[in-house]
Formats: sequence, structure tokens, C-alpha cells
Amino acid sequence: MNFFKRNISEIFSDSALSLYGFFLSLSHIVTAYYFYPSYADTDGIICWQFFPNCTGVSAIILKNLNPSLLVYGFFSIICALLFIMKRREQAYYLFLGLSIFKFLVHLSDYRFMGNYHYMSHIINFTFLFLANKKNMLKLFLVLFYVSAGLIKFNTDWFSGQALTNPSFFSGYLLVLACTYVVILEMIFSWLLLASNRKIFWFALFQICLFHIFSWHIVGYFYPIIMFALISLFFIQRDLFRFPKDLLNRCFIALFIIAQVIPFAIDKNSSLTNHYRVYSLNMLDAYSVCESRFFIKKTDVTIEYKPNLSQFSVRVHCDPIVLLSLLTKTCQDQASLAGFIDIDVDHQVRRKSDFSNIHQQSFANVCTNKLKIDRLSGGLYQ
Amino acid sequence: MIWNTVHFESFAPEKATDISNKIMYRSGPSRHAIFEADSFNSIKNLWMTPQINFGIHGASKSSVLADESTVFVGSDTSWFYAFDKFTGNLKWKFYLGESTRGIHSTAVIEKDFVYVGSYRGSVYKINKYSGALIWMRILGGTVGASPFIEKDDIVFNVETFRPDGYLIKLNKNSGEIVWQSDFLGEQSHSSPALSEDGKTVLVGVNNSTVQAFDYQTGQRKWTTKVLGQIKSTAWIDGPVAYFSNWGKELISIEIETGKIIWQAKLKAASQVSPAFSKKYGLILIADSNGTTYGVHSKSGKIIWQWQKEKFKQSSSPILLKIKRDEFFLLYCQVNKLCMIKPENGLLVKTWDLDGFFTGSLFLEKNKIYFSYNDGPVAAYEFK
Repeated sequence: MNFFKRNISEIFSDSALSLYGFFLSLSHIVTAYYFYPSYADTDGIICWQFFPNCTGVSAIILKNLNPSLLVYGFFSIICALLFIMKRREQAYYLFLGLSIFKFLVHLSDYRFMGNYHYMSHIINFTFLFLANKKNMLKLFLVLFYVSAGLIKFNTDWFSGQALTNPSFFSGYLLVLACTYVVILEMIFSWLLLASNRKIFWFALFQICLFHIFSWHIVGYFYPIIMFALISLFFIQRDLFRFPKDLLNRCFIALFIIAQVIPFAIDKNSSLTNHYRVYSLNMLDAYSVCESRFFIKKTDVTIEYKPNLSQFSVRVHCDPIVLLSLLTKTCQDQASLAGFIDIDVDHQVRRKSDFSNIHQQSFANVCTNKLKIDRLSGGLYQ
Repeated sequence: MIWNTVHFESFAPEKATDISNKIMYRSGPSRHAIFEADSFNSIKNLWMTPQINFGIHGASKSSVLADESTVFVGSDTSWFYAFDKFTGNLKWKFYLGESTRGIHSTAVIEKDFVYVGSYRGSVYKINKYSGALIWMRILGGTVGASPFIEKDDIVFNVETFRPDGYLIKLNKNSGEIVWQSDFLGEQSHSSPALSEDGKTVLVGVNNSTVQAFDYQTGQRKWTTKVLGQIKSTAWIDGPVAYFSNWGKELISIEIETGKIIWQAKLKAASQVSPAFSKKYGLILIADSNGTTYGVHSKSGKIIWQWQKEKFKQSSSPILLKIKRDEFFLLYCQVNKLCMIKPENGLLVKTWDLDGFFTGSLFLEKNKIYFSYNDGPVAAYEFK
């Protein structure tokens, strides 16, 4: 049987899955609303480490992004309706197109980086291409929570300092709430796979409460996406069976490895961002950084501090961002009289930890260009 | 708050020809602003640079320092300048990043390097010939006071935004922390001073205290409460230090114990650093309304006082030794430099200036250098 037909058949032979397609289409509608209008300027494109020369293609995407988002949003609504009307092929292929579009937008510029997109891509991929969809989807959703809980074992998170916006909890209540989140993610989330109805609903209720609570900290988009993704638990109650298929097990293993690798290789990966591009980027650490560019001219040295606050907390200290800013500064300065080169120093630490500072210094970065390791995302000369 | 030292030396320094001693605010760690001259009758302007200060803040500006060939000064726009001492031509400049008040503190020159703090809490070691950065370090919220250097170490006074502050001693070669004192309890705008025996660092604090720390360990020795915030720098003479404060007083304090020996009442608050004439046993101090006082160093009795005109006074006097005699040099009236006999306060001479200044004068042989508050750096020759 044709690969796509097989997948279409699995989705539409199960009313829960076809309804789930409707909810996933809603996530595309919300994404279109979230991205629109996009103010990402083509001058400030930051390429992902896999595509260091992306600026040409990305510029085209960004220039046409806003009208494209309107089209994307429109077709997301159509897609949702198609799932309701069980128009099998049309719904499936349109959903595929929407997912590819979202993936391409995400890949066009590192400034679009966000955990909610990462999880959506995995769920969309599973929904579209993997067999035994219900069990795989449920398992991935639980693994999202468990992975998120695992990376929160640090004082930044437990003290509440990792939160990007203040909570209405403070003091001991905040510490208690942050501790509870880790317990919820690492333990209660497994109960979503329980066969006992009461245990299952207890867990689901906790998860929903958590996302509703998180609204005042992370905004509307993240919780709505999560509700769309976990809607599967509301609409079907089949017993969970661990996937036996080798290919599926490989994907699960790949996901787990992607979460583990950053911390296995680099204990400071929350600060260095090494290998983190393949894994979840939750609120595990509030990183703060100081970057200094020393612009050297014939009789002048200028200490310049790039504006990192224009980027979100999760990415503002990343090497990719630094490289992009440096490249642009070199280009801007090269046309000015007397310019020689630029030295750079970049220091990152957790907001609450003054003793562990990750520091990188490079001299003459314009003539001896900095490069980014495509695998780890680290900078080198 | 404190980030790691940033090291760079991508320009090789020129061959060192300098034989100068350490040059810093108020001449040295004990802040004896004593200069010598052969005579001081008339002054003639030698050169003026383009405007470097733009009145971005109203507090005292960074003071000029000079070695054998170069004049160094920070400005309120965050530029640090090196001018040719003989022509006033620009040699190099270094922009110390954005800050609300630029460079407040006066640098230190030692051998081939200049050390300076910025109002955004960073300190820098710069090659004094080329302006190349050797190292820099972020130490806190603000560095407004002037450091001193002693052997291999340099001591800065750092303010935080809490508001609070601390003293910090760095190795001048590596920028590594030797010690960081306990928090002072408030910000401190006073430049730290070192006792003549090299054992105690003294600083005035905005919480109306004088605090003393062990120079080797950074451990606090004592804290003494006074009547008002201390903005000035001490003048240290043997076992005693003299401070002015906003509580309208000049005090004499015992360095070993922190005991106040005497308090001289002034008519108004003072943020001027005192000058001391050992020959006449007299301290010169001025208050913020422009009244100038001669205070007996042993008893604290005010021997003389006068006010030529009321104006906002924040520039600190120096002691000028001419042959065997001693005089005070002070900005004592609007746009006027005054030479004063210590024993009776007699105005020996006044010279018209091209503006007003709030820092401290720098004198060398027969030349005087300073930067105008809202203007250029100027060099005058006197005869």
C-alpha cells in the first residue's frame, strides 16, 4: 500500500485521530495568528547552524512572510474543516503542506526558535508519517514533559529565577510551585498512560492546571499549542501499548538521545547552547550574558556592547546570535575609515550563579573569521 | 555582578621608555596633592583641545594626569583621551562603552599602562602608547571614585545599584581579584586612600560613615559615624586622616582606631577634598557655597575663612611648594584660580580662567593641566 495512503487510512479509520487532526489544524491557525504580522527584518537574519549561508533564501521568505501568513492562516481553517468533514486526502495533504510551511518558516531564521514549534514539528511528523500513531503520539507527549522536568534540576528553576516573567507567587510559595512542576512533569505525566481512569484524569487535570497557570508567565501561545497537542488525551481512551515496531522505537530512542546528549557532553550546555538545538529548550535556566566588541581603528578603540535584549531570553546568549551580530558589525565597520579589526569577549552565566561563568574571547574576528560548528553550535576560529 | 577579566593584547606595546613613577588622583595612595614649582607668577595658555566634556552631569569631572609625553583624561561622554603633552594633539582615544555619566573617576598611570574605571562599572588596563586594551573587567554597577595603585595591586571603589558598594583589590597584571571587601552599606563616591604605613585603606561612604579596611586582607577594621555623607577623599598625614562631609564639617580621625580627634564646623556642606600644609600645620577646605577655610590641623580650630563670592564649589585644592614656602592653589571664585598663603588665608594671586572646573589640578614643573567642566582640556605654562 502506498505510504501516504497507509497513513491516511490509519488517521481516518479512527474517529479520535481524525478529530485530533482538527485540533492540530487549530494549532496552525494559532501559529498564523502568533506570527502575524512579522517584524523580522532581513538585515538581522540569523541563520541556523546547519545553514550558515541562509541569508539569500531566508530574505526571500521573510520579505513574503506576512502575506504568506494570511494564506497559511486561511488554509489552516480550511484544513480544520476538512478534518471535520472527513475529506481524507484533502485534509491530509493540506495538513502536510501547512506543517512543511511552518517548518520552513521556523528554519528560515533562528529568531523564530521556540520550544512550542519544536514539539509541534515532532507531533506533526508523528501524526503524518509514523505507524501506530495514537501510542506514539501519547508517548512523545509524555516524553516532552519528562524531558522538560529533567532539565529543570537546578537552583535557577527551583528558586523561580528561571522564569522569564514574574509569577504572582513569590517567596516560599514560588519555590513550592516550581518544585511541584518538576514532580508533575517527571512523575505525574507518566500517569497519562495509566489504564486506571481516575489516575489518568487526575494526571490530566494537573497538566491542564499547569498550562492554565503558566499563561500569566509565558503568554497565550504556549498553553494553547499544548492544549492542542494534548487534546488527544481528551478524545480517546484506548489503553496505551508501548510501540513494538522497530522504526518507531528508533524514533523514540533518537528523541531521548537528543535530550540527553547536550548534558552528557557539556554540563554547561544551558549556557553554551552546545547540542541544544536538537533538544527541548524549556525554561531550565535563565541565562544572562555580557558581550563586548572592541572595535579597533588606527587611533581609536571603541568598546561596543551589542543589544542582546532584542532577542528572547532563551536565545539571547547563544553563540549563533553572537556570530550573527559580529558578522554584521564587521560588515558595517569595514566601510569606515581607519577600521582595523574587532576583538570580542562573551561571558554567560545563570542569573543566580555568580561563580560559574562560561567565557569565550576571540581576537581579530573580522580577518580571522569566527565559524560555527554545525553539529554542536559552538564557535571557533 | 562581577564578570571574568577580559584579556586582549592584540597590539604589541611600543618599547617602554617611560621612567615615571605611579601617577594617580591627588598624587598618590595617601592622596597628598603636593606639587612643586620654581615660581608661579603669570600663567599663559599653551594649548587647548576640542571640547571633551559636555556637562552631562554636574558632579566633579575626572581629573587630568600626565606622564613625560602624554596627558590622559576621561570625559563625561565615556571617551578616554590621550593628548600630546606639548601640542595638545590627540594621540589616541578609547570609548569605554555607554554609561549615564561617562568617566567620572581619574585614571592611574603606571609604567606602560593606564588604569581607569567607567561609570558603567567596568575597569580597564590600557597600553598608554597605543590605546590598546590589555584587560577589562566588569566589577559592579558603577565606578565613580578614583583608584590607587600600590606595588602589584590596584584598589577600586565599586558601587552597586542596590544601593551599596564595596572596595575591591585587583592584581594589576591579570585583573584577578585579590580581595573584595564586605559591603559598605551604601554607595561610596569617595576615592579610597591608603595610610602611609600601607596597612589601612580608608573610604568615606554615603551612609555618613568612614570605614577602614586592612590593605592586605580586605577585612573591615572599623566604622565611624559622622554627621553627613562623605563625597570627598581623605588627606592622610601620618596616623591621622582628614575628611570633609555633607554634615558641614571637616573631621580629623585616627587611622588606627577610628576615633574622631576633632570636628571643625563649616557654614555649609562640603564635598571638597582637603589640602594640608605641614609647614604651617594648616588644612585648607572649602564648602559648597564657596567659603574657604584654614583649619588648624592639631586642634581643628578655624584660623581664617573668607568667601569672595557664592558659587557651587566642588573642585579640590592642591598644595604647591615653591622653593621653601608652601601655598594652596584652589579654584576659589567663578572662573578664577587662586593662590593662598596658608597661615593667614591671604590671596597672593588670582588668575582668570576660560571656564570652571571641578576636578583636581595637575601640575608638573612649570605647567598646569586640567579639564574644564563643559569644555576642553587646557595646558598653561606659568613663570
